[in-house]
Amino acid sequence: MVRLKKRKILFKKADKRDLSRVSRRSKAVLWAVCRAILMCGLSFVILYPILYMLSMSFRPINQMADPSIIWIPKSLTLENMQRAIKYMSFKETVTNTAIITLVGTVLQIFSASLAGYGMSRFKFKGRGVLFALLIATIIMPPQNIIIPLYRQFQNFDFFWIGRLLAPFRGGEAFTVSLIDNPISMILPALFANGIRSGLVIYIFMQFFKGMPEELEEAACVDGCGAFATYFKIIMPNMMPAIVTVFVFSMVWYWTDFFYSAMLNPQTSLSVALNGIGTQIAYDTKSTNPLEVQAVTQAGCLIFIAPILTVYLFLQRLFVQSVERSGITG
Amino acid sequence: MAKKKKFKSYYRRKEYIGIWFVLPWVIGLAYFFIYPIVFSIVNSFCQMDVTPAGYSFSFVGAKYYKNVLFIDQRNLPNILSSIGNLLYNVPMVLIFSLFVAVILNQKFKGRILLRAIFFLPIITTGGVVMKIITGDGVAQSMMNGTGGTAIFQVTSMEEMLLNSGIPQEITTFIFQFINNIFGLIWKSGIQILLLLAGLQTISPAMYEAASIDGATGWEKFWKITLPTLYPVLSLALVYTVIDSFVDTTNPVMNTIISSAQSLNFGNSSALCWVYFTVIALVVGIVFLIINKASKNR
Repeated sequence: MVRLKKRKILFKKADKRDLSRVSRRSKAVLWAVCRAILMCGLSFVILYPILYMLSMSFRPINQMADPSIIWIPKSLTLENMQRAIKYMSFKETVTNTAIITLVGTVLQIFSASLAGYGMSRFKFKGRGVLFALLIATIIMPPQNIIIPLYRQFQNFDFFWIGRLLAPFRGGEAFTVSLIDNPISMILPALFANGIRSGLVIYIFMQFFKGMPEELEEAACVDGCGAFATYFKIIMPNMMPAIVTVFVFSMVWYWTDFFYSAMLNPQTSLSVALNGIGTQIAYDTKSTNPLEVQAVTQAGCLIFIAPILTVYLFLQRLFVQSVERSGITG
Repeated sequence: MAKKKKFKSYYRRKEYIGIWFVLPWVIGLAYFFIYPIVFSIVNSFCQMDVTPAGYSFSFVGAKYYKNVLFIDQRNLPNILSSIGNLLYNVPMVLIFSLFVAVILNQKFKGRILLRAIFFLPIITTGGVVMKIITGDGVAQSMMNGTGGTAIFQVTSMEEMLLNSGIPQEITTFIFQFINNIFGLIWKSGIQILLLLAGLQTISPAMYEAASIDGATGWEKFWKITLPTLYPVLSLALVYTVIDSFVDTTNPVMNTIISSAQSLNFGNSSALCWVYFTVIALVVGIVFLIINKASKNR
């Protein structure tokens, strides 16, 4: 009897374990289904404007107002694309913007990560003041400083050195105009004051905070200097943060309109995209809004395409870094 | 013993080495930030006239500040409403982006495609593309939930919920969420990517150890994911607060931009400084909360 009872209990336990396994499995399936539905819905909301761009930019202009067409046009055309490329003087603007984006981003990452590391790991005098200034750069609306900044670049005096030379030049300061020169976009990045640099520095600070100090201490014991530690130990271990910030910074430089329109309007892609409507009106003397709409949407597509491609390549670098850092747990 | 001594000197050396690390940034800060803002402060107290010879300034005292604060009736309510917007905007954006980031960090088919899709909002927000998208009539009606032909119209459901006795505050919160789902997704692009990067710095070994100890997914989320994510989460919080203040669709920012465009730099600078002070106060409070929470942890 007793043995039978024991057996029964054992069976019950096994049953329970089986049940829990089954329910866990079905839970996982249920979650996967929910996740798929949710992600499809959100993706649709995000993709809607892109689909609209695609639909508009390959549609012939006489089909624009056709009520029988919602998404897929009856015939496809490349005319809108070609016109967008022409009106944006694409070759020139895209090379210029690509150079500014690449050089600006790399310089910004370099100088901002140095600053972020200095701010998060070292406790020197005046650090509090610098932190307050950092937050001020993040929250200051750029509209507030753009006009004085424009004047700085119009009469660029090489960090006041040109003005110090004034007595030797008969009282006239040595200045150069950097407006419409890519240097006006790149130079602030070199000094970690480019587009949203404050935010980049702050992001680096937060990521450095999350990093264990044991690595640096070990490097110090091995007789590694501060800068050598930084380039040999910290940088390689910060790859996820660097890739993330690289992506942000790249996008901010690529899509920037505000600074480009002020400092470098002639050869900037975003300014050119903004001016497509005016260019059409100037070129064809026609003000057909549908035409403008189609070419502008095509321009948007061309504008987004390069940066999206670069992102798809960079995405592979979003790898797990902790496994490689040698410190776990 | 020798090891200890070396550490001590290392930490003392640290103090001035730090200055070398921040030096390029400090030079840039002086030239590209402090000098312009001093000019902007001067501007807000002076009348600037463009003359053939250049610019001329004449001191007018606090005239522009009086203009902005007391004579122009729109500004104060606008500033207050942008603070009020924070209260539901920030939690919504943060919860939503954390949720999406956790999902995107899971292993499933098609996640690379999804990550690319969730990257799109970062490219478009704030730039020319967003202006074009929102300027386009057809696309616009899609985005404004309150617009005439919106597909996310849910007023009748809201009434139903209200009639069934759910407090109005909760239903308004829920329906703010549903109505603004488009804006919400487009606003949280950067936060999602930040949190995703933060999630990837968490070692999988921690989760393995926790599951061996019998922790459920829910417990793992609260005990491992959230505490480790804390620095990045506070970064996302600060970013969200600032972003909702300096967003160009914000009415105060609109006034600043439009008065600068009509060459009324005095008014524009004065309003900018008033607004900046408000933002600084709010961000200061946020920092206090973050610091307190991290000490309690």
